[in-house]
Parts: sequence; C-alpha cells; structure tokens
Amino acid sequence: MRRKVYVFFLLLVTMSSLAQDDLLTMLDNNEETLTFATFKSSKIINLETIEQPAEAELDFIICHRFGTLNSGIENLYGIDYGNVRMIFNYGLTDNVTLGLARSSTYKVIDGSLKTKFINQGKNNFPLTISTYSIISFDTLTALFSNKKKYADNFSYTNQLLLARKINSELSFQISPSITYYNFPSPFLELSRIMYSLGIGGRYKLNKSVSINYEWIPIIKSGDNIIHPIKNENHINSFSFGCDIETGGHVFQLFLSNSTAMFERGFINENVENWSDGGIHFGFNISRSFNF
Amino acid sequence: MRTFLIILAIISGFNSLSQGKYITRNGMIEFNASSPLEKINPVNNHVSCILDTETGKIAFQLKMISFKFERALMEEHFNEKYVDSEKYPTSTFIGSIVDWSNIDLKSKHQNVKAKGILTIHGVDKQIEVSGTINSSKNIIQINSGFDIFLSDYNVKIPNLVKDKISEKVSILLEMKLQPK
Repeated sequence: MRRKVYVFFLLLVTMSSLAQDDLLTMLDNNEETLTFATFKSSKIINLETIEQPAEAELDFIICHRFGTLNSGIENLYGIDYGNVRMIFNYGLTDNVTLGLARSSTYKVIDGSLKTKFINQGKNNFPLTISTYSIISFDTLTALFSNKKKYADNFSYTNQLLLARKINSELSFQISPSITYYNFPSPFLELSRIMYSLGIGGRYKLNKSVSINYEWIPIIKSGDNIIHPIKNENHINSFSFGCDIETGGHVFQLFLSNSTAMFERGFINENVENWSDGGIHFGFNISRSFNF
Repeated sequence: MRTFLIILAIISGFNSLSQGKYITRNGMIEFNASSPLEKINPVNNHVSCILDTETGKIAFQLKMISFKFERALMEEHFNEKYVDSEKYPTSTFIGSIVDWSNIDLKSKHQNVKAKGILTIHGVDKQIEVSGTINSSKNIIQINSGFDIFLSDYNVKIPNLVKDKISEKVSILLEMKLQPK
C-alpha cells in the first residue's frame, strides 16, 4: 500500500515537472486530417484521377499525342503527326467538376462530370471515392451509320474512381468503367456495352517529379468475359511516363499505345500495340486559373 | 507517514487544478511570404493557445493544413512541397512570458516578451518575440508580430520559384483566450 502511495506521489511530481508538455497536451485535439495531393494532376496519363480543381477554379489541360514511334525516320518517328485534346474543367464546388473538351482524334466533343463522394481520411476511411461520367458527341460517327440517327453520335462512359494514397510518395487508383455506344464503330470489334478495369499509380521521385503508369484491360464486351491478357480481339491501353510540376503548371510526358485521349477511345478503340512499336509519345500540360 | 503523503498528494493535485488557465482554439495566425511577383498571405483561424496565468507559461499549436491560401494550388504546394504537412502536421511554440510576476493582468495593453521554442517543419529553434497583452472581462488578448527565416526551419524553395517566395516570413498572431 505504502509503495502504491509513493508511486502515486512520484507520478504527481513528475506531472508537475512536465507542466510545459502538459500545456501542449491540453491543446491536442484529434481532428481528422483529409488526405490531399494523391496525384499531381487530374490525369494519371489518360485516365482521370480523383484530383479536381477547387471551387471556382478553372483547370485548362492541353493533351498532345504524336504518331507512332514505328512510323519511320521519314515521319521523324511520329513527330510529324499530332492529335490534340483541349479540356476545360471548372470546379463548381470542391467536389463537383464540370468539363468540356474537344479532341481532334475522331473529331469528338465531350462533356463530363466528376464528383467526389468521400475523401480518404474522413472518419479514417481508407480510400477516396469519386465518379466520372463523360458523354462524347462524335461528329464523324453518323457518316458510317446506316440509319444516320442524330443519337448515333453519342456514347457514354461511366467510371468509379477508387484511389488510395499509401504514403506521400506512393498512390494507387483503380477505375472500373462501363462504356455504352449508341452506334459502335463497324471497323472495330465493339459491343454496345464495354467493361474495363483501369489500374494506375504514381511514385514520387522528389518533390516535383513523379513516375506514373496505367493499364486499362477490357474485361467484358457485351456478354462475353474477356481475359485481360490473353485477348486477341482487343488491344488494352498501357502507358507510362512522368509528371513534372513547376509551380503553376504540371507537365506530363509519356509513352502510350492509345491515340485517342477521351475515355471511350483510349479504353476500347486502340489499334496500336506496344509489341510492334505502335507507341505514341505524348504530353499533357495543365494550368489552373482562378477567378 | 502515509497520511502525510496522501495529504501532500491531494494538495499538489489541488494545486494543479486551481491554476488559472486561459485557452482558445480559434486563434488567428497569418503569415506573409509575399514577393513582388506573388502575394502569399494565408490565414489560419484554428490556432490553439493556452496560457497559465499562475506561471506565465504559454503554448501554441496549429495544423499546417489549416492555413487557407488565396489559391488552392498554392495551398497544396505549401503542404506538399514546402512544409511536408503529412510528415510534420503541426507547428508549436512552447515557452513563457518574460517577467510574468511583474505583469498585472488588470491593467490594459502591456508590452511583453515571450521566450521559448518554436517548432516548424520538425525543426526546433529558440526564439524571443515581443507582443502585447490586454485583458478585459475575463478575456486575455495576445497580439504579436515577428519574422522568421525559412532556412532556419529547413524549408527549401526550389530555384525555379525562388523569386516568387520571400525567404523572410512575417508572422502576425491574435489570440483571445478565455478561462478554461
């Protein structure tokens, strides 16, 4: 008993001698901290990330895709050909982004909506979950359509974005997506509904540079389950590259076998293959503006 | 002997309870690292501060991510690239007000000095700053302004943006403390 009292007394003495630290402990409040900067930009390479502009911020992205590396010296390994996509993403709120874009590939105009539902760290939740929906208006599709309905120009892609920032360097994202075509192009092996599973990630080499990769296997075409690797009718998109962030801009330089820069195109409509040199050099430049 | 110890323990327990402590969790700290090229003047309105009016000991704590910048991108860069907010989430000051015994909380507007350790970006540094203390109707208001240098706290600015961010950072603080 006596020993217990001694210990108690000693504890009190120690506590008062630690009064300084004690003051700080009194200030501690275990507020939750939301994870931020899972990726540097709103794109991994082609795939959308869970990043989006803040409220009332406009993010302007120029995507550029050259021709294939195997197109020979006469075309300077693809540099002679260029495809451009211009994207304007506007933050309605911190969690809702409206986008408008136009691609020179297939002459497509699209509108998109990205919504964040939960941020990693909220109530200790392990993931950030967003959805991304894009409607493409294809100004060429109707030319190949027999019936030439106005609606044939439209196709839709819906994505679920599940991202986790493992630590300040490493982040991963999985993006299951469904594409619905009103009129699938007759030149490609497409069903009206295509399912795919995008997998991507980034690793920061230092404070301004990160390496990124993404792989988007098609897993189901209509009712047919498709093997993500042993797959003869479809070519899956694979890209890797790096992000360079310089204050106001993010530059992304990469290699990819996809030509198109909008969801439907780079997920389902690839015609070039890494194995035979059908690789494109490309870059994205994003710049945000405040109003 | 045992009774004596128990009484002592109770007394010392009472002692630490009866000490007058004043606290806030909504104090304001802003800093200014503006350069001619860029305005950088964020505010943090969630600063905690506690003052022990018995001893003059004082402590501050803030979360780096609670600094609100004019532009979201700037805020992200501040947290991600410059102060590593994931690794060092809080900044603290722990110290005491110099000559506390000579300070009369009943009189208004007194100039004071505080001495202690400022911890930013995981780096501890002994500082001494001056400020004012005001008390009225059970509220103690503390104001202070001082400068720090980024290099003292191992905050590195890349060459590319060196012209945009001032190496000398002015800090302004205003705390309204209420009895705990």
